[in-house]
Amino acid sequence: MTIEMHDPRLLARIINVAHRFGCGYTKLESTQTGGTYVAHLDLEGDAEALRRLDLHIAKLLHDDKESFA
Amino acid sequence: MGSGTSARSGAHLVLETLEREGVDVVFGYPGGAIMPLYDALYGHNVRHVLVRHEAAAAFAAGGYARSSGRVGVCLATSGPGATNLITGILDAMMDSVPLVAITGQVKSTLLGTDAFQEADVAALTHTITKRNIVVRDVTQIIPALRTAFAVARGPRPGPVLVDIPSDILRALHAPDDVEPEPARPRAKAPFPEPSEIARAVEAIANAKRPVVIAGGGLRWADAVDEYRTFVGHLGGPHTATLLGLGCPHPDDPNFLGMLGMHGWKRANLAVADADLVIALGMRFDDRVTGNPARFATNAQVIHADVDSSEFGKIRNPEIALHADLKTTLTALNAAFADRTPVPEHASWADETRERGTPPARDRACGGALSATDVLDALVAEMEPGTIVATDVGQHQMWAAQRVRPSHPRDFLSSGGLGSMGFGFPAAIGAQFAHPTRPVVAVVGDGGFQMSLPELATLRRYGVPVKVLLIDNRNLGMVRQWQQIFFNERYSATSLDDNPDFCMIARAYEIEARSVSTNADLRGAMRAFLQSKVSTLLHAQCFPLENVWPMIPSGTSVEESIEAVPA
Repeated sequence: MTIEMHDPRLLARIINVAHRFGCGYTKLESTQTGGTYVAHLDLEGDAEALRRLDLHIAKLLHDDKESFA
Repeated sequence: MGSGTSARSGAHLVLETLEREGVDVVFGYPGGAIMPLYDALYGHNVRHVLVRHEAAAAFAAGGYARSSGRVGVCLATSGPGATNLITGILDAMMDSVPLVAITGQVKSTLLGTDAFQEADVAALTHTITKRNIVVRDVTQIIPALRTAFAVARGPRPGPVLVDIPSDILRALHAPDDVEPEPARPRAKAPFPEPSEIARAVEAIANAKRPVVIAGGGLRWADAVDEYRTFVGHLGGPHTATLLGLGCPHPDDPNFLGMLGMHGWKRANLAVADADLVIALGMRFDDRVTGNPARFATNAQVIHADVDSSEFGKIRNPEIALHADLKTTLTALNAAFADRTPVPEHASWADETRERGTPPARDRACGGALSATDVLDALVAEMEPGTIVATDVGQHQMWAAQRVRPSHPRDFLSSGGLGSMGFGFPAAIGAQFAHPTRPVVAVVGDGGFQMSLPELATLRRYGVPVKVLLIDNRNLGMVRQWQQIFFNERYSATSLDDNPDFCMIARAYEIEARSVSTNADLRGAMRAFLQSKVSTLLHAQCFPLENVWPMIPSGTSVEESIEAVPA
């Protein structure tokens, strides 16, 4: 997945949440452009865990967007 | 340095910004790194309430916010001061409470050096805040705090932490804005999709056995009136989660009482048999659903929430209304205003009302004082409009079953986190938000001992919080589980060496009385509630009373028990 964020610490949080849900990642790249960071993540894990992880990441990105609106 | 105003310290800019955000009181505890802010507080308009442990500062700020709808603010120093806030911050995160925590930090030049009282509080709180901000420059204090308040307010409220190194608090800055700027508005909540509203209206009109579940989100959306109009249109039964209590009008005959593990059986049965569940601002917590695979298995679900990540987290809704609850309910009410009520909804409400008895009392108390009788006496004697804050455990559930709040801001409880030690400081926070209203803290003997030092806060400020102590000389809820699920192996739950609580209260010059018999209960309760000062009523209760009914964790209403299994 590709995500865009303002607070790069979110990446650490996403990795922590993935670990909590029993998921892992096989690839993580991030680049900074202006005030935003674009990251490419390849996540792996149980389908249901990945579905919940997607929801959680969406919430984190929503809060990030709200914070930097 | 900017121009146009005189230079002030970062600490003064913090207080100016708090004033602009409408903050009238902050709860905190001083220490080294935050001393510049305490120096600025000296003689300042923003009132500071000195608690006796930082955890109480966070809980008191939470109680202030929960009871008023405004942002609660707590202060602490770096290191241990900041870490002591963490439980209260997480409590606010779990229950979506708007909270701003301001922590002092070691000097900027010492960050990362393991300096005295240094803690990476930003990292520590990253997963339990909506946002945290480390201020790196005095010019960033005002924007950081304004962002903090805006994010804390919502659309889904929550905690924000602002960490400020002590040198930044001392640094001088003259902001450019001469006139106070308006507070940054909270982020706009989404509006409901008309097509989804239409689908919801159709589903409700076609349902034969709908049940509405009121959740804590209604409180923060300020949608209680809209909720009551909606359930009036529906004409069917409705229930509430722990944090949704107070949304239904307590005299509404279609309100079935609290849902969940220790909820009213008729509420759980109604949801089990419903063909449509309308979930408003609730998140299908495991204490509500039990086994989610067996929760409302016959029902379609309409889930309305301002946070779309709640959709499908536990239960996939057939219709998801992603919007502010106030506008959602306004739209639904407009759609139903001209419709004829569905007759089946009323007959279904009649049917559900008659099913199951009210939460059973545990009649094993013999001649000893029953905690449920104590809480019934409280409910019978307390003035309308009394704010009740509970701690966590058996007394919390007994209170939730019995107290009939007329607004969710009148019943304060640590729902998601279930944090012992919450109730007493939360009541203090609520009393500061509502100086003229009666406030009662209902606490157990376990949780009260986690917050005892706050008796000093009562004494210092003369806030007339009433503390009703349900003392069963046990960590009662854990003991109950040990009795039922752990073969009566009572490990570390006996508190038979409790101190003399009245003597402790009196040592703080707090009025105290004790009651241990049913004969004395009503008189003691009346005197307790009529007291004009802070007071403690120590109710010495039967030690082995249980909370019924109970749906064992991970099961469903079919496994509900109302007595210890033989």
